[in-house]
Amino acid sequence: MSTERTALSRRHFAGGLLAGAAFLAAPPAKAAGGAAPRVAVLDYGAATTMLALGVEPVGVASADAWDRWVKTPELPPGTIDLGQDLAVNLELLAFLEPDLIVISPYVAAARPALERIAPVEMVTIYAPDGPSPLERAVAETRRLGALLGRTGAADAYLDATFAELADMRARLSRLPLPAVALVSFMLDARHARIYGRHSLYQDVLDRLGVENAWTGATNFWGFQTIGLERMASMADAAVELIVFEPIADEMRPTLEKSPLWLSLPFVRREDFVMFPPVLMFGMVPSAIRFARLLTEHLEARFS
Amino acid sequence: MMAETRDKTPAIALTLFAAAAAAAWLLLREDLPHLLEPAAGYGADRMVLLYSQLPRLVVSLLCGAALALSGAILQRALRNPLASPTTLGLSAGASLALVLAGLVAPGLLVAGREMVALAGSAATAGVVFAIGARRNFDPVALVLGGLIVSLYCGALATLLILLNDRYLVSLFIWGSGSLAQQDWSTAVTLGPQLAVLCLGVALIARPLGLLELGEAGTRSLGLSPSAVRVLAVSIAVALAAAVASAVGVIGFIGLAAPTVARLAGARRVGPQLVWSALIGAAMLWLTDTSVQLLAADMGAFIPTGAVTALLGTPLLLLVLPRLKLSFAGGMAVLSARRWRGPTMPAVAVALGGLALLALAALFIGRTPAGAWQVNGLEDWDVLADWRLPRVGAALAAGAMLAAAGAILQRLTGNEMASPEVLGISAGAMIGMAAILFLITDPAYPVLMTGAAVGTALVLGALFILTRRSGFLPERLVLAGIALGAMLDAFIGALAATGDPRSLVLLRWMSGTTYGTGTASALVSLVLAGGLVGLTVALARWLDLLPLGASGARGLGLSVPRARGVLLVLAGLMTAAATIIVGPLSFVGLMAPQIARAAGFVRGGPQILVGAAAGGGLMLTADWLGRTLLYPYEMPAGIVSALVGTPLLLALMRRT
Repeated sequence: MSTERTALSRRHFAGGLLAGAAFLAAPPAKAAGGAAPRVAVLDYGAATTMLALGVEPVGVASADAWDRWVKTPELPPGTIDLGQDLAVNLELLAFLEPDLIVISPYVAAARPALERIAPVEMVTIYAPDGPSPLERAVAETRRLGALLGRTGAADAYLDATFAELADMRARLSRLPLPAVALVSFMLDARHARIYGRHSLYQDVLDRLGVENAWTGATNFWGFQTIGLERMASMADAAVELIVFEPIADEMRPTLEKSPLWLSLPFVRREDFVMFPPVLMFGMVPSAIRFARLLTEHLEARFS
Repeated sequence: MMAETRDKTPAIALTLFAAAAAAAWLLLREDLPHLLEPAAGYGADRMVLLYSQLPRLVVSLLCGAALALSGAILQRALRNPLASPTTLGLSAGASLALVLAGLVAPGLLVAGREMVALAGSAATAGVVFAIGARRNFDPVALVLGGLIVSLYCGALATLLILLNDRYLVSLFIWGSGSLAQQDWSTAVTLGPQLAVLCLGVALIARPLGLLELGEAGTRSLGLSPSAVRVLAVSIAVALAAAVASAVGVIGFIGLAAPTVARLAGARRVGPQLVWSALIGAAMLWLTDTSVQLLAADMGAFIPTGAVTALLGTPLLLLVLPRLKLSFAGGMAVLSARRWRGPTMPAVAVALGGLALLALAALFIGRTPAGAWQVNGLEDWDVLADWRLPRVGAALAAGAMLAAAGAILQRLTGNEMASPEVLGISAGAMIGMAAILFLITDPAYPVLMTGAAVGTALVLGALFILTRRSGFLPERLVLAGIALGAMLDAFIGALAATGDPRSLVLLRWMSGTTYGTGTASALVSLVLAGGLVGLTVALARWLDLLPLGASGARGLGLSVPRARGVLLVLAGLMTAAATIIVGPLSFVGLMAPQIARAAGFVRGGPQILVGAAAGGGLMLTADWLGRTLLYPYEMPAGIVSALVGTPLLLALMRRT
């Protein structure tokens, strides 16, 4: 019975992937002849969502650091760098004359200025209260789809994504999984950012039925900065540690020497793995990218 | 003064230690029994106790003692109650060295993070003392030089962090001094270093005491006073650098502990050094343990260094009225060539140059693809919307800062005073920060209101704090410094938690004309015209005040009232400028100097030409910031600091 269901959802999943691949491979909107809106995007998460919907932004803020933080999907060549996200080059934007500017609350201080250039839409994923990041991301994806004349693409993309998530959950449910701890060492070798409640990653874990080892408090961006020694508080249970890149170069050798780090049970058992960059403050594309990396890793290790 | 003062230092030190021990007991009471357990097995709590808690305790004691000792030596050797590792810029230098190494040669950090930091603080010490040496280590010159170098390092580090935002945020943790430990390596490295240095301290203590007796005392030992000073200061620098490289910037302990020891009655050198060290150790231990207790409750990460700085400011303000400042009055006024030609044509030339500069800043720019171009009038719509307001705002801000700086420098009789030092710009920033935390999505007008309220509060506080002393210049400067340090600590702590809003704050701190609209640019220009004009009208007061209170009174000027009015004027101009270009700019420091170096010595011409120079500096800085790294921008406040500070240091050395 259960294998049958899995097979079914596998097929469903494959179908979803195909559908996804089909519209991802489709030429971007402007090539389709319709007057696609020229959109300037000030938020990586919104930019990945637009790319997933098949719309290439004319310009993206902080485009030069895209590979370091987002990696996948790739930014199309020819996308104009708008300057730093907290201070996009307004003069440049004015010369570009976009039809629409997409922002997030993080850069909202510039909103009055931006509104003098083009209509502004704000995509809110992280807020002090209200729905979780993934729920908000889904709603915002539909809204972006409607704004860009891509309602169908948005629906198809979300359907495919959730089918894939459900399939991954089914595959993982058969495995004896430990809890996972998600950290990044953007700071130094003594401190980590650990992701928990209110984070996009947490939503993905919930969808996949994987337990988060960190149940402590987090800020509204869904992470907490902790001294390394506090990671030991998660040591008792079986925990798989996942470290996200980017990691500062000087950190690796330091970590390799630290007795506290080396004696952490998951490090001693080598129950830890480095993941390539996954935008932590992203939207649905980052969620599914993290889900795929995690599922692949857990399946490889625990089946 | 010489009356019997009971020495209360042992009681104070004992109380501090008792409090620290009690806090530590609260923190560790559940874990301590693990020490008795056999070493087999993992035991998370036991590992944490052994490799994190206990080393942290030892490191906090070591660092507290070392910083206090360093401060005590510096204060003694330089006869300067304000000297400390923080006020002389040693910590900021180390911080900048680490940021640079992280960007340019990360390999250096792997090889020796400590050595990089050490080189940084040594270099800053070199610069600060090179300035000080020209002035016989005059206390005020030294501390102000230290603060300027400190601000300069901070500005550079801020710029680097801004341009590499997310990655280098890490350095805030170091910059805010975290005592978190993962093993004994810090304690094991630091311990022997400090032991050697303490030996040096023991040797230097006696000659240091003889310094008090004047030249003859030290010469009787066969030592020149300056040799004793140099030796003592080197030891203090090494102590501070050792701590900075080990745990980062822990502000204020090096200033507070020796001050407490002295006020409590430790007068002779030996007891003063010993008690300072003990009080410093207890202070840092207590702070760090309290931070951990608090952090456990709040589930938050708080860097201890930021907390020491936050606690330190109120205490410093409290102690301020009791401090006997032995400043030898104002410093010598810069020798300047007297302007021999007629003044009015020269002022006109300065204003004409300013107009040309403004035109260049308006019409020379880059294309969206990045090529340089001179924009024609067909681009006027975009230029009028996006460049003109920035040029205007930069000009207004620079002019107001310059006039405010001229007032302050004349008022304090100290050419190193500047609006930044007054702490009013810090107040504006605190107001803006408060708004950022109350409203998720603040608009510019709301932010401006916050800044204005913050400015008014600080100005009011300064008034009340200093009214009784008749606006004594040095008190003002000290209160301002304390406030600025508190702001730094607050932003440092916030940034270390990784709160993304800290980057917004950082950007405001850095001073950018970014986002200035036509209306606010016009308001700034009108304000600048009015306030600078008013200052010129009151220029006679500025010429009379440096004559001293009695001299000025003799010429029919009510000194307290004149000082009060001028202070309000300087405060208003600083506030209006800070809202535009942030609190870090050095224009208020540089522009009046430039005017004076060019020969405009009397009040009126100095303010006019200074304002023109300030406006020119700021709009040049703004233009460079907009175009050099296009489409990325560098904040005008920081660019002006980077360009102007070396100029200023050169100026200081020349005189």
